[in-house]
Amino acid sequence: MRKTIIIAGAAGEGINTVELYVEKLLKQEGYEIYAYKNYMSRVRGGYNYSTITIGQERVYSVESHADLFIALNAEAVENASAQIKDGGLLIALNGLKSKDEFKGKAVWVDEEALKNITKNKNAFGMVAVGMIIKWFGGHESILEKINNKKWSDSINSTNKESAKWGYEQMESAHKPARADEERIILNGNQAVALGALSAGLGFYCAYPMAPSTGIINYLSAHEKKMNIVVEQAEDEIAAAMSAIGSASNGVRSMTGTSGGGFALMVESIGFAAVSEVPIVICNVQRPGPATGLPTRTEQADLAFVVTASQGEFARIVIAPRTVSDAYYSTFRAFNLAEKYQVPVIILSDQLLADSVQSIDRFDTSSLKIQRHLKEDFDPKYKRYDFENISGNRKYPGLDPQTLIMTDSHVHDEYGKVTESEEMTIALKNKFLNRIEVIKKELSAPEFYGSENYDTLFISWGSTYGALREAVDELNSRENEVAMISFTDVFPVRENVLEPFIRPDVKIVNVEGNAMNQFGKILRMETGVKFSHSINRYDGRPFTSAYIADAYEVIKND
Amino acid sequence: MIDNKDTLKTVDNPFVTNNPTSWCPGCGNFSILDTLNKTLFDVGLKPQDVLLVSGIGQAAKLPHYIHAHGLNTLHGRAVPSALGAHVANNALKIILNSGDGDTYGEGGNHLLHNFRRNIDIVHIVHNNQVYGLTKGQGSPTTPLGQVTRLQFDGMRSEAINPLAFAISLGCGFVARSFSGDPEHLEEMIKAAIDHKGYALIDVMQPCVSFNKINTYKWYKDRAFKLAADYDPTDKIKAFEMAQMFGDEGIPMGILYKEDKSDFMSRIPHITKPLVSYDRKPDDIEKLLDGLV
Repeated sequence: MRKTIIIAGAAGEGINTVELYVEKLLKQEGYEIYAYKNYMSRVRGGYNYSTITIGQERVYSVESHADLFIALNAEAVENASAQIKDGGLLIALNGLKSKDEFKGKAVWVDEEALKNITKNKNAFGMVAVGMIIKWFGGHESILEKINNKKWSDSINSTNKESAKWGYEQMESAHKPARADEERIILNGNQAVALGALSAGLGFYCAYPMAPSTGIINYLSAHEKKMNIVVEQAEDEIAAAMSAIGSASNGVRSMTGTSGGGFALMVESIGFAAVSEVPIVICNVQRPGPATGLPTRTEQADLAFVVTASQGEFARIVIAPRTVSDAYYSTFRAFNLAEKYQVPVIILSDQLLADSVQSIDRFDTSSLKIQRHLKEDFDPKYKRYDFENISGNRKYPGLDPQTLIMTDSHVHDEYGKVTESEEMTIALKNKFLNRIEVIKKELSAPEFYGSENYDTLFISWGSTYGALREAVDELNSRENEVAMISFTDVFPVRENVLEPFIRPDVKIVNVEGNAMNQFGKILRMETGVKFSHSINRYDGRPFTSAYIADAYEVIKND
Repeated sequence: MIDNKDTLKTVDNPFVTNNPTSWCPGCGNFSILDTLNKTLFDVGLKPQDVLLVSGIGQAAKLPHYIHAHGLNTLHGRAVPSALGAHVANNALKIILNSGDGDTYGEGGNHLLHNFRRNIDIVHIVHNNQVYGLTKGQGSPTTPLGQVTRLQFDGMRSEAINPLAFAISLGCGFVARSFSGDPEHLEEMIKAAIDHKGYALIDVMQPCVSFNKINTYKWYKDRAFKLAADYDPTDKIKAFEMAQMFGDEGIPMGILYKEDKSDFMSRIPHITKPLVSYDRKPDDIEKLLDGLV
C-alpha cells in the first residue's frame, strides 16, 4: 500500500500544523512516512503545499499526485485537478467559491455545521486531520494526542473536538500495517543537528538563511539541555570564523548556511585548512546563483564547494542521502575533521532539509567520539609537523605547558611565518599526502538494484530516495537496472567505480542540476564517462516517476 | 624617536622572545610590543594563560613576537575569531592586536557587533592612520584631503572617529594611548585587562615609512592626558571628549567606562570553560524521546 496526501493552501493557513499531526499520528499507528514541503519564499499568502507519502513498507520519496487532497482555500481547489490521482479524493469546505470547478470525487465538509463546533477560521485543518486518521484506519483515541504546549487549553480542546468531528464524517479505507516500533520521525535539518550533538558539538554559530535555518532553530531550542552555545552571527564570515576560533581552542564547532552564505565563508575554509583547524560546515543547497529560489531545491553547489577558496589543500565533502544518513554522516564528519584537521563540508539540500521521514531510532551505542588528540606534554611537540598526516593535535590548554600558534600563512612546524621554499613545499606535500590518505578512508558508493543490470544509474546525496524507488519501479516493469549512490563525494579515488563498470552497461548520471557536476568529477578522477544523464533543475525535487519516465526516453538509445 | 626596547626587556620575563620582527626601524609597534610584554608579566599572567589574536597587517604580526598562545587569522577577521576562542575557553585572557585598516575597515562589521556582545577581551588597535603592509594607502582613520601613496589628490572620505564610534555602540571600555608614552600605555593595558567586557584601546602609533604627517612629533605636540577629575562614566561627556582630535588637542586616557554584563555571563547555563564539558553520543537520547 502506498498513498499520498497533499495539504494545500496559503502560508499561515495551518498547512504545517495539519502535516505535523498527520505524520505524528499515522506514524504512531505503524505507517511509514515521507513528507516534503513545497513552499514559496513568503510569510503569508501564496500557494504552498505539503506532500505526505504513506506506506506499509519504507518510503524513500514523495509521489507527485495525491490520493487525498486537502484544500484549505479556494485556490487549492482550483489546483486540485492537476495534483490529484485518477480516482483521488478531494476534501474541502462546501462554502468555497471555486467548488464547482472541481469535477472529481470529493467530500465537501459542511461549513455551517462546523461553525456549531468552532468559529476558528483554521478549524477545517483539524477536521481534515480527523478525516485522514479515519481514512487510514487509525483509532479515534489517538486524536487525544492532539496537543501543543504552546497553545492555550481552549485552543487545544477545540482542535481535538474539530478532529473528532472530522473523524465521524469519514469512512475507513485502510488498516494500519503493524504496531509502532521504536521509530522516530524528523527532517534532514534536525538529523544534521542531532548528528552534531552526538558528536559532541559545543558551539554552533550561523546566520539565518533558508533552507538551513532549521538547524540553528533546533540547536537553539536545546541549547541549555545540551550545555552548548548557539550564536546568531552578524554575517556568514563571522559565523565561520568564530566556529574556527572555537574549534582551534578544542571545542567541536560548526556552522551552517545555504550557497549564498557559503560563498561568504570561502576565505574561512582556506584558513581552516592551512591552520589545520577541524571545522564542519553544512551547506543546505538551494537553487542559485545569487538569491536564486530561496525555498526550493537543487544540487548545483557541488563543483563550487569542492574548489572553494584559493590555493590547494585537503577537504572532505559529504552529501547525506537520507534523513538517517544525515545523522550518521554528520557524526562521522566531526571525527574526520579532527582526525585529518581539515574542513569537512556537509552538502545537504532543501529536499533533504525539509523532508520528514519515519526511521529507526538512532543507535547511539554504535558511535564513538574520536578526537585524535595528543594529550601528554611532549617537549619536542610540533603543532604543524610536516610528517603528521592525521591525529596528534593539541590546542591551548590541552596540556598545561605547550604553547600553540595557529597561523594563516605558510608556516614552519611551529606555526611561525616563513617564506622558505623548502617549508612551502613541505607544507603543500603534507596536504597532498593527506588527500591520498583521506581517499582511502572515505566510503564506497552503495549499490542497489538488479544484479544483472544493463543500465547503471549514478547519483549522490538526496537523489538517492527517488532514484531507489525508480529502480524498483523500472525493475518491476521487466527492466534490468541498478544504481550506485554516493554519500562521500569528495575526494574520490581513481578506482571507485571499478567494481560496478562492465563494458556492456549503459551509464546514466542522475543529478539535480543541469551541468552533471558530479558526473564530471567522476570522469576527471576515474576516467569513466557517462553516456546519458537525467537532470532536474526547475527547483523541484526528483520523483521516482520523473526518473522512470526519463529512462523510458533514453532506454533504447 | 623613542626606542625603549632595552630599558623594558627583563631576562626573566617569559613573554619576551628574540624572534626577529619584520617591522621598519623606528616603528611605533616596537613600543607597543615591549609595553605589552612588560604589562602581561607585571600583572602576573603566564604565557599559558594568554591567547594573542590578530588578523593581517603589520600590527597583526605581533602574536609571532610574544611567547604565548597565538591565533593569527585573516584580514578583518580577528574579532569573530576571538569571539569563538573566548566562547571555547574563557579561562584564557585574550589580547587582540590589529591595525586601523584591519579593525575599522575590513573588520568594521564584526567590531560593532562584538561591542554589542561585550565579549571579555582586550583589543589594542595600532592606529597609524595609514596602510603599512600594503605600502601607504589611506586607511579609515586617514583625514579627508590627506595625500597618500594611492590617494594622490587626497582622501575623498572623511576619517572615522573610532572612539566616538565605540562609545556610541556601548563599548564599556574606550581608551586612547600613544606608543610614544609607554608608561601611559601600560596603565591603559592594565586597566583594560581588569575590565570585564570589551576593552578597546586605540593607540596612536606613528608609521615612519608611509605617514609623514602624523609623526611622533605631531602626536606628541597634540596629545594631552585627561584631567584627574574627568568622569569616564558620563557617556555624553565622553562622546563630547571623543570629538576632539587634531590641532585642538588629542585626549589620552579612559574616555568611557561602563561596567555591565559580559557575553559569557549572559549565557548562565555555561558554568565552566566550554572546552571542559564531557560529551557523549548518547547525550541525545532525551531529544530522541521527543521524536518518537
